[in-house]
Amino acid sequence: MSDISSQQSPEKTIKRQAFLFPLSVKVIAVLICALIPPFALVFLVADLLHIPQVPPSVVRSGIVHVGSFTIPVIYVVVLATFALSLGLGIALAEMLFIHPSRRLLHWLINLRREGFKKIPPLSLPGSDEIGEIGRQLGFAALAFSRGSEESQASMEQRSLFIMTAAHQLRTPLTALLWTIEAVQNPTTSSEERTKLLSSMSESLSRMRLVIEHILASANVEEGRFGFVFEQIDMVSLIEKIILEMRPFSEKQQVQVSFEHDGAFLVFADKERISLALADLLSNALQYTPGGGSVRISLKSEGEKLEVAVADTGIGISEAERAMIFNKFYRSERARHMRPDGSGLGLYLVRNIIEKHGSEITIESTEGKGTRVSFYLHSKRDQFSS
Amino acid sequence: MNIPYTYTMTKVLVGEDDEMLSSLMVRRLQAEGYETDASYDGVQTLAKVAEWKPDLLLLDILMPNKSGYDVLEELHTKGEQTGMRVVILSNLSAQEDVERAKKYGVFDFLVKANTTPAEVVDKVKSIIPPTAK
Repeated sequence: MSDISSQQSPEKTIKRQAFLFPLSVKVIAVLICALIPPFALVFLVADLLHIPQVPPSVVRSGIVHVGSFTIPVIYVVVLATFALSLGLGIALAEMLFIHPSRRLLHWLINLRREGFKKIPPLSLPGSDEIGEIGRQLGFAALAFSRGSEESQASMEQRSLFIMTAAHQLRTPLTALLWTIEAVQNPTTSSEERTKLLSSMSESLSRMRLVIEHILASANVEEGRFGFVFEQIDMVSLIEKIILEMRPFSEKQQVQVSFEHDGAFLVFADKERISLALADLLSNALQYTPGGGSVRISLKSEGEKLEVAVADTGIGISEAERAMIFNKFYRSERARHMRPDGSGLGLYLVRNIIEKHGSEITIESTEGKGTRVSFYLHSKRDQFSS
Repeated sequence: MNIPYTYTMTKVLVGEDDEMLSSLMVRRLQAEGYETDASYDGVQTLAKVAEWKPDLLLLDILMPNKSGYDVLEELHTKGEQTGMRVVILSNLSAQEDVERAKKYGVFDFLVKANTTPAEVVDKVKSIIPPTAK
């Protein structure tokens, strides 16, 4: 990318600069220079200008013989003066106006040929309007190039997002499709049927979660917050989430415990906070091998409530920690363990927590476990919503 | 005079990490008369292919430890001419995913979310019947 504007700040570049030699001055200069020969001729003829070899009388009434032609000197002189004038005028115009314009044109053509991806440097001489056109065009091209790069990146992100979301939905959909067939099969025992029906309900709740993720993510992207804050009791909210996740925690063979010292009312968006906690719990269960445990704890500290989810799972290394909140990032070990995840969860969780006026804190030891915590406020004015 | 025939059941290995889906598929195939086994990740799939030598492999792509692609790659480089057919059963469906699998000469590529177990079984039957002499 070009360095054209690296020195100047954007605001400066939009204002017109004061010109040292505006074009008008240059036009006058060119005209004056071009008019010198005719003036010189007039002075010569009017005897005001003396050129040693050329007496005025010769110019005025002399005659030149060229072959068999007789040409008055004055014709020749006038012609020569015109030619000189024209030549001088054109030379100066070429130098001051036409050459820079041509350079500008070539630069623009090159720019279009490169598709605005590489911006070649352009420095037009002269501190006049043409020079300024060059500068402004440089900035404009840079801005355009940046804008189109951003737009491209954004479109790619959107595509990736759609693909990820659709794939995430396919998994529970497959389970539903295959399970229904088994349920309809007359050879399936009724005890088996009961198990299958409960798994169908699990698939549906998984699909609901994914769809909530998609919608929440779309909102985040478009900057539409739509958070509705109200007083909610965290204890009952978390108990509900743990209950909903029971089939999953049992399947993973991970024990879930909940520690708190009584009901605590906080100001939060019920849907979003539920989503965030469900996500953290899901992650903890997902990345903790069978036989491990997950502990959710609530600790009141004055007007704040610390919410923490701790597991005995695979942990997050230093290197991974920097990246895990990125929109689609999934650590190598996570991908190894569960290739199917979208990497979308923590990005949303962090966003939700931030909107609640807090930060997400992670403590982790690779191979031992992870503790994720954040704060919620009991008073509305504790954070800007 | 009776010449005894030995019928051998066709062996199908189901490589799928989701246990529920795997058991649904295994049960369906067994009901149709196939001898079936299951593996739950890429490493296990490769091990079972080597030791059990199935006639057909139903292979998922997104699996832990080694993906379906890794399995295909290793089977390819080993180059054993077992005549084992491979059918991909995956929820990936992008052009490049299908092409990547087909490069290894898989017999077919089925998208799980769009295919019922009955349809999978029909496909398997069309490739290789449950019993062969």
